Amino acid sequence: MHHGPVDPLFNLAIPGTNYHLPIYNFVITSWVIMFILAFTAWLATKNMKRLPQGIQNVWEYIVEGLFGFFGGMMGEDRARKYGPFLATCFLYILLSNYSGLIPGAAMIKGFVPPTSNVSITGALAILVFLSIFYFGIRAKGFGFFKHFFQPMAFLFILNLIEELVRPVSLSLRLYGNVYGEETIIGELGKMVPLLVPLPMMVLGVLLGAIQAFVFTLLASTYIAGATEEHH
Amino acid sequence: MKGDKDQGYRGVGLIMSAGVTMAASVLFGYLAGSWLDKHLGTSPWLTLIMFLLGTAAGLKSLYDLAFPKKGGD
Repeated sequence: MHHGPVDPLFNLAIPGTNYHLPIYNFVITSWVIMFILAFTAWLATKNMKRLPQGIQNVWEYIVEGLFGFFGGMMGEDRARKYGPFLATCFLYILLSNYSGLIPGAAMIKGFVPPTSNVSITGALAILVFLSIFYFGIRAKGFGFFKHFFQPMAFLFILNLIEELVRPVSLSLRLYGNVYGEETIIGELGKMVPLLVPLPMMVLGVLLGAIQAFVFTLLASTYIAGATEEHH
Repeated sequence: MKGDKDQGYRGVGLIMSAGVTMAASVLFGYLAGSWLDKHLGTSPWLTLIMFLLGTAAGLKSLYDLAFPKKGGD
């Protein structure tokens, strides 16, 4: 689902078939973000010291903060288990949202944050959806499926719909907020390029963080719900 | 102190997510119902039923968000 006249940057031929894989601008942006995250993480862990310095210090601060937050949400030991996945989602979404705030970015046609495209947020939400099942089944075995029949068996259909709606609402929320904000900045920038889009961009800084936070908060709530032991 | 702050953020996040959760549930119910109707030829009954079920599921997921089964931690 693409909005507006966005053409693929180039087509990648799939060897052996007639199909072409269109590569859009936001896919490139997404690759750059992935590369930045992976590369700085690699730099930070290359030769770790007891007393963290430089980039290792930054990463330790980020990771500790995030794990502390997830720990408050689902308990220390579960945060250690599921934190890496959730923290990666958070950092990726945060950087994606902020990539649209690079000065002048909104005026370059096709340069949009990856999260303003529903196929990227949909993929993230499907990852969360599958991870709920994966973590739940790994933690509780087939007991995981019992929660579909709780608190009462006839609520099964509601629980099923609730479970299936989760990826839809996760992806639509993130996509809608980022796309809307990007569109406003873009249109304002077209009308009055100087200073007028600034208040919206300040809001964008706030919204970008909040949306990344809400996405991971909900994901952690879902995973916590799927993996908790009943006493 | 830090725990209080986290709880506050959590509350803000949950409230901000409530609207889309409800809307997405209703939308999902309606779309699933109309898709089933088209393929089973039972128009308009499944659309109606799934629409109501989607609304109910939306309300239930709001309830589950507001009152997690185990106090949240």
